[in-house]
Amino acid sequence: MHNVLGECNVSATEVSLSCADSKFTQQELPACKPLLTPGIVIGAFSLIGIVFVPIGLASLSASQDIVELVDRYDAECVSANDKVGFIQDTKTDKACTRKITVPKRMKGPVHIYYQLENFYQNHRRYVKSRNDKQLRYKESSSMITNCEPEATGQDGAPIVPCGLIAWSLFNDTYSFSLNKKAVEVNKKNIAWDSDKSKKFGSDVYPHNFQNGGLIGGAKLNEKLPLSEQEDLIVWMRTAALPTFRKLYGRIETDIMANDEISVVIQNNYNTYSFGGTKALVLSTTSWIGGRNNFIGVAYVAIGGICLFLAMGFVVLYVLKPRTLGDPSYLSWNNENPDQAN
Amino acid sequence: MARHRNKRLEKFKLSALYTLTLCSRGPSEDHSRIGTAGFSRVVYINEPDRHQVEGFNYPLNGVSTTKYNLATFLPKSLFEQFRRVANFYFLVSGILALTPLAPYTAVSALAPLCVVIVATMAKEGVEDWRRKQQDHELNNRIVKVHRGNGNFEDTKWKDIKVGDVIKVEKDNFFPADMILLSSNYPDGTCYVETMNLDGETNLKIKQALEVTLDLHEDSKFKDVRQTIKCEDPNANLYSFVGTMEWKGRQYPLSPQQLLLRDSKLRNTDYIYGAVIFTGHDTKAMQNSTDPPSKRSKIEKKMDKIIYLLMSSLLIIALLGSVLFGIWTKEDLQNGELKRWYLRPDATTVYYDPKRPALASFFHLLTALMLYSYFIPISLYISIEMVKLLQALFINQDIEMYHDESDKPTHARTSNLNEELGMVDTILSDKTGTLTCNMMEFIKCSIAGTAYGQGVTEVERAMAVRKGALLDAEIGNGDRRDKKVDDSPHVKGFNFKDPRIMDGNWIHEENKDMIRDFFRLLAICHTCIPEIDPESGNVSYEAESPDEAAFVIAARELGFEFYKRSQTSIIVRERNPIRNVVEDRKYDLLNMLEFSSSRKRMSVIVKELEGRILLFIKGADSVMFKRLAPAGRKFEEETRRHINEYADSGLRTLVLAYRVLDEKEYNEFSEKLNAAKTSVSADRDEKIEEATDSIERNLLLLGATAVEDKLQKGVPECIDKLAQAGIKIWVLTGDKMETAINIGFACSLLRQGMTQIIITLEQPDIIALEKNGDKHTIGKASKQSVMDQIEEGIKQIRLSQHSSESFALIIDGKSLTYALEDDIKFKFLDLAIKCASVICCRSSPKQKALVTRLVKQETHKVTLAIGDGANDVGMLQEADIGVGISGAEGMQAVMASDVAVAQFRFLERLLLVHGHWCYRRISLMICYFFYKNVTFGVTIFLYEAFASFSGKPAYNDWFLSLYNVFFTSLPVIALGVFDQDVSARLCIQYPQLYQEGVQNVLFSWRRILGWMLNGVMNAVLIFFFCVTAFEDQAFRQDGQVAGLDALGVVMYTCVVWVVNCQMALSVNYFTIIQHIFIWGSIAFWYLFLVVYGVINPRFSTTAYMVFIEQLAPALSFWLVTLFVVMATLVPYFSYAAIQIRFFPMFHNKIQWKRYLGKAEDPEVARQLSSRHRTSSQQRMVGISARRDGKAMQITRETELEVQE
Repeated sequence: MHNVLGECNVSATEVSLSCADSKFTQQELPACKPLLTPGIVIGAFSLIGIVFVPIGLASLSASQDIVELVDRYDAECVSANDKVGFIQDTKTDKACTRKITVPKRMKGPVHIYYQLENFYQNHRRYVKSRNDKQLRYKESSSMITNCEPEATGQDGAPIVPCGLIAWSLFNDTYSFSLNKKAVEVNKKNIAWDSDKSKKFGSDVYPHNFQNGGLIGGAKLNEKLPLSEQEDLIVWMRTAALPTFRKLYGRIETDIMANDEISVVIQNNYNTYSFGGTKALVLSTTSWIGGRNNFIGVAYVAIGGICLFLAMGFVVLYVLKPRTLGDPSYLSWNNENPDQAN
Repeated sequence: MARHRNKRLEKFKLSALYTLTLCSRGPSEDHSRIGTAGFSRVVYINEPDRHQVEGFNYPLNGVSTTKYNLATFLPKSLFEQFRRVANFYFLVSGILALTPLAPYTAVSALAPLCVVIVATMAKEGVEDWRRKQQDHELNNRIVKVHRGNGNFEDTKWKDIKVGDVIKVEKDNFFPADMILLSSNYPDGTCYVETMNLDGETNLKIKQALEVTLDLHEDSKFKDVRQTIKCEDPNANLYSFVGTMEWKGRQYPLSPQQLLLRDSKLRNTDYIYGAVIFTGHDTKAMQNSTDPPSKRSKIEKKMDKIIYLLMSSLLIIALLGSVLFGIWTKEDLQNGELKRWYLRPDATTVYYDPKRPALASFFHLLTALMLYSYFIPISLYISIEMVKLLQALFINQDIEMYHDESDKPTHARTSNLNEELGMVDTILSDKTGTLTCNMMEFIKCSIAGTAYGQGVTEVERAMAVRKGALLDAEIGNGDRRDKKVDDSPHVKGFNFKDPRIMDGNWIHEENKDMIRDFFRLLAICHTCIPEIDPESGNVSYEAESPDEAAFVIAARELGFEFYKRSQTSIIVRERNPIRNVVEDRKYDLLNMLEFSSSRKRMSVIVKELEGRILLFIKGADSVMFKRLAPAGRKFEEETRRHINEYADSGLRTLVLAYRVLDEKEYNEFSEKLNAAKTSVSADRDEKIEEATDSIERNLLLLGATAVEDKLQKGVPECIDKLAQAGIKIWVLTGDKMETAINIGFACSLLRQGMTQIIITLEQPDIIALEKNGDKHTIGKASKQSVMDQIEEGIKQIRLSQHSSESFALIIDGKSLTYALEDDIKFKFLDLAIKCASVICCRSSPKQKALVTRLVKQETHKVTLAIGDGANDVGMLQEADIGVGISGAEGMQAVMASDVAVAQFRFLERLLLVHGHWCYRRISLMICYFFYKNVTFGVTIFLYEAFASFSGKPAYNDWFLSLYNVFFTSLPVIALGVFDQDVSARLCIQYPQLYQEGVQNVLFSWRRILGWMLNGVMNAVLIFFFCVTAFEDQAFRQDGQVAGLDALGVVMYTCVVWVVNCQMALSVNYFTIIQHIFIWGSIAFWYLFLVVYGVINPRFSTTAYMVFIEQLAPALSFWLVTLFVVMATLVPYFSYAAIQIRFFPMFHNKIQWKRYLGKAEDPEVARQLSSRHRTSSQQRMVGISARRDGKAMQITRETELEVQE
C-alpha cells in the first residue's frame, strides 16, 4: 500500500529554472497517484467498519438509557365536539389533568418539552415576520418592517415585539405534581445565552402586545424585559421542521420509577384549526442528547455494511483475481502470480 | 522531378533570364470601365490633401483590430456576457432579488454575479488591450514619405494618406497599397515577397511604367503631379484595373505595378511608390476576415446540460408552486383560518389564499431564484480561468519549445484546449509544415554505383523503431553516429562519400561519366548565381529548392556554376589532378523547359572544344524509355537504386546526356524555330514534336536523390498520431508526384498500399480540353471524377476482408468537381475508407472546403495545420487551427488557435496536453454540475418540509458563498493539475487518446451518472441529517436544534461530501490539491466561527450557532462523520469495482504503472494491440510500414520456398 500513496513522479527535466519552479510549469510536481487497489479498498472498508460499529453501539446504549415520556393531550383535553370553537372560546375553563406513570427512574434534570406537529414555523412568511432591531434596541421600538399584519395595534402604535412569530406565542401551561406534591418547574436557562445577551434587549419591554382584534397566543409580562422572557426567546428560534419540540422548563429533582406525575394543563393553544397535535414530553438526556436511536443504528448499520463489503471484496478479488475482459493478464500470470493482491 | 512552380512566376523568371522587356503586362482588363461604378477612385499623386477638398473621403492608414473601444466596452462586453443563457438567467434573478419575492437578501444574490461578471470583463479587457498594443506597434512603424520639395521625412504608418509618395527600403514592408513608380534598377523593376499574403515564398517581380522611370531620385518628386483613376477597394489580390494620367496621356495600370500592403521588398535597394489604398481599404485588410470565434464541442454540450438543468429546475419549481398554491388556498376556507398563525386573512398578494393562482405565479419566480443554485454561476468563469492556466502550461512546456528558432508553443486562444484531446482528423499542409521546404542533395547513383552515405529522416525513424540492434539491416544505419561530423554543414547539401568528394572521383572506375554527371548538375537548370562582392562566394537564386540543391551539390563537388549570361554559362571546375581551378565556358544554345506533361528538362550547350551536348534530367517514368540501346548499360542497377531511394522517401531524377553532331543540331534548331514562329493552333504540338525528336537516344549517367527535408521528427510524430487513431490528410498545393513522394517519406504511403488516384490528366479529357467548349469539358470531367470515385469505392468494397489498405490521391482539378454538392458525400465516403488521403494541387479555397466537408459531415473534430497564408482559410475553417510559427510568415499564426514551432510538437500537444485538458475539463464540468445538483436538491427537499413557501434551509451568505468559497478552488485545481497518467505514459500509449475522440469521458451517460450521484448524495444528506436531528434534544442540556442549527449541519455535510467526492475523483494528488480540498473544508469552519461572532445584525441566523450550539455537541460531530461516510460509500464501492473489473484504458495503464510494468515496451504493445478499435487505424505510420515490410519479406521467402 505504501508504494501507492507514496509514489511520486520525479522524472527530472534539467532546465535552468529553479527546480521547484520547473516542476510546476512542466506539471511534474511530486504527487500521490491514488489507485483503488484491493488493499486500499479492503483496508478502507474494514477501517470504517471497525471504527463505526463501536461508536454505533455506544450511541445506541446511551440512547437506550434515556427515559422519554410523550403524552399527547390535544384530543383528550377537549371534550366538546367543536374543538375549534372550544379552543377559541376565551371564557371556558381549559384546565385538564393528565396522569403519567414513570416506568423507570429519571435522573434530574428532567427536561419538559411541548411538541407540536404540523405547525409550519419554517414558512417563509412566518420566519420573516419579526424585526430583530426592535427586539434588540429600545430606540428601535417603532421599527416594524416585515411585521405586517401584526405590526401596529388598533391605535396605530407599534407592537413590541411585533410580527407573527411573537404574536403566535405558545400559551399552554403545565403545572406538575409528583405523588400529590407540587413540583417546581425551573424555567430559567431554557434559551440560548447568545439570544438573551445579543438578540433580545434587556431594556426592551413588551408594549401594545396582544391588543389587536385577534389574539394569537400568550401574553407577555410587560414588566419584564424581552431578554428575560425566555419562553418567547425559545419560541422565536424557529423550528426547522413542521414537527418540533421546544423546551418548556426543567424539573431539577430525580423522579423514581413508578412515581405518578400529574400535570394540570391549561389547554389554550389552538392547534385544532390546522389539524396539528400537541404533546407534553418529559425526557432525560445523555451525552448524545435526547432519545434517538437513529444515530446508533445508523453507525452500526454503515459499519456492518462496510465490513460486509470488505469481505465481499476479499471474496471477489480471490475469485476473480484478473480483471474481466482483459486477457492481457494471462500472459503475465506466470511471471506475476500474486499480482492480484 | 518536383519543382514548385507558379505559372505567372515562370514568365517573370524567364524575363529575368533573358530580356526584361518581354515582361508580361498582365491581363489586359477592360480599362474602359474606369470612372464607372466600382471604378471610381481618383488619386492625386503628391497632393494628399486635395482629396478632402474634392470630396473624396479616404480613410487614414491606421488600422484597428480591437473589438471594443472605451465607449463601447461596457455595453458591448456586458451584452456579450448576458448572451450566455446562464448569465442572463442570473441577471434576471439578480434583478428579481431586489423585490420582496426574493428568498434571500439582494446583496447576497448579486455579489457573486458581480464578481463573476467583473472577472470575465476584466479578462476581455486585457485581451483587447493586447490587440490594441499590437495595432499600435504596426501603426507606428516608420516609413519615408515625401513632404514637398523633394524632402522625404520619417512618418508613422498611421499618418500616411492616399496620394502620398513613399520611399520603401530593402527588406521593409509596404505600409499601404501603392503603385510602383520607380526603383533603384534602371528598368524600374523590384522584387517582392508576398509570403504574408498568399504564402508563396518565391519572389515576384513588379515593374513600373516606362513613363515614370526617371523618378528615381528624391529631388525629382518636387513637382510631380499625376492622377490615377482606378477601381474601388476590393479583396481580389490578383487583379487591378487603373489608369495613370501623365502629361495629358493615359497609361493603363495592371497588377504589375501594384505593391500590396504586408508584402516585403526584397533584393531591391529602394523603390518609390504612390499610395492608392490606405488602412482598411488595402487588399490585405479587405482579405482579412474576422477570425471566427470557435467554441469547443464540450462547451456546446455544456450548454445543453445547462438547458437540461434549467428545465428540470423549472419543473421542480412548477411542482413546488402548484403545491404551494393548493396549500395557500386551503388556509382560508369559508372565512375560517386554517393556519391561523400565518394570518391568511391579512396577507400580501404573495400569500393570498383568495388569489392562489397569482400567489403561485409569484412563488414560481421565488422558486426559480431559490433553485438557481442548481446552476453553477461560477462555471463559465472557472472554466475560463482553468483554460487560461492550461494554456499557460502549454506555452511553458519545455518539450514543445523550439531552441533554434527560440519559439515556444503558443496557445493563442484557450477556448479549445480540451478540443485538442478530441481530434479525429488532421488536415495538414505539406510545404513548411511536414517539410522544411529545404532540399538536400543526399545520394546519387552514377554509372550503376550508389554514392552517398547520408541517412534520411525516414531511415532514421525506421531505425529507431526497430531498435538499435537492427541497425545493420538498414543500409547505412551504422553511420548514424557519424552525424557528429565536424565539417560545416552546407545548406542544401548533405552528401557524404569520400569516394567522390574532394576530387577523389578521379580515381573511380567511371571517372568520365562522373565528370559528365557533375557537369550536368552544374549546367542543366535555370538558376541565377549571385556573387557576394566581398567574400566572392556564390549563392544561387533558384526557382525551386531542389534545383538549388543540384547546383550547390555541383559546387561542393568541384563544379561551381559561376556566371550566367544570355548566351553562355561559366562553370569553375577544379581539376583534381593539377589541383587548379579553371573557368569553363559553355555556349547556351537551347533550353527546353520543364513542364508537368514533359516531366523533364534539357539544355543544349556547345563546349569550347566544339562538342554539342544535350544534358537532360527528368522523371524515371519518361527517361528510361528514351535511352539509346548503348546507353542502357547501367539501367538495371540504376533502377534498383531509384527504387531504394524512393523507398527512403527521396525525390529522384534520372540524368542522361547525348552528343549531337552539328548537322543534327541544325536540323533540330530549324525545326524548333519554325515551330516557335508558327502562329497556327498546333504550335505547341509542333514544339513538342521538335523537342521530342531530339530528346532521344540518350546515354544514361545516373540518378540523383534529393531529400525534401522533412522537419525533424515528422515520421515519428505521424506514426504516434496514427497509432492514436487520428486520421491524417495532406492537403498540398504541390504536384501529385511531390505529394506522393512526401507521402512515402512520412510513411503515410508505403509499398503494398493500393493507391486510388483520381485525376483529370487523362487522354480523353485532355483531348477534350483542346477543343474548347467549357460546358462539355465540365460535364465530361465531372463524369470522369464520378466514375473514378465509384470505381474506388467498388475496389475497397471488394477487398473488405483482406488486409489491404488504400490511399486516396486526388488532384486539385478533380477536387473541384468532387466537392460539388452532388458528389461530395461519395467523395467523403471514399476518403474515409482510405487509410491516408492526399489532395494535391489544391487551392487555399479548396483546402478550406475539404476541411469544411470533413468537419460538417463526419461531426468529428478536425485539426488543420499549416504555415502559410494559403492555409489561413483551412485553419479558420477547422475546429482547431494550428499554425507553424517557425517560418517567416505570420499570417497563418495570426489565424491559428495554437501556434507551434514544429510539426512534431503536435504529438505532445495532442497526446499529452490535449488528452489532459480534455480529461480535466470534462471531469471538471461533470463535477461542477454534481456539486450544484447536490446542493440544489437539499434546498429543494427542505422546501417540501416548509410547505414550499420558499424558505431556504441555509443562511443567505452560506447560499451565495457556496460556489465562490467552499467548493470552487478544488475543482479549479482539478481542472489545472489533474493527470490520469504521466506525460511519458500518454505518449507511450497513444491509444489512450481515443478516450477523447470517442468522447467517453463526457458522454451523456457519464454526465447523467454524475448528476444522479448528486441527487443521491443530496437525498442521503438531507434525510440522515433530518432524522438524526429530528425533534429530540441534541445536547446534554436539553436544547433542540432549530432551523439555524439544522441548516448549518446540512451545509457542513454538503461541504464535506462534495470535497471528499473531489478527493476520490482526483488522480494526481499534489500538495496543491491537498491544500485546496482540505483547506476548503477548514475554511468553512473558520467562516462559521468568524461569521458567527460578528454582530447578529450582520450574521443574523448564523450568530453563535456553531460556537454556542453545535461545536460543544458531540452528536453534531458524530452526525457529520456518519453522513459523510455513508454518502460516499456507494460511490467508493462503484469506483472500486469499476477500476478493478471494468477498467477503462487509462485505468489499465494506471494498473500497469502500479505494478511497475508500464514502461515495458512489450507490455505497452500487448495492451495497445488489445485496445485497437479499428483495423484501419494503424494502416499508416512507420510501424505499419515496418509491419508491411515484414509481411512482404515473409511472403517472398514463402514464394522462394515454394519454388
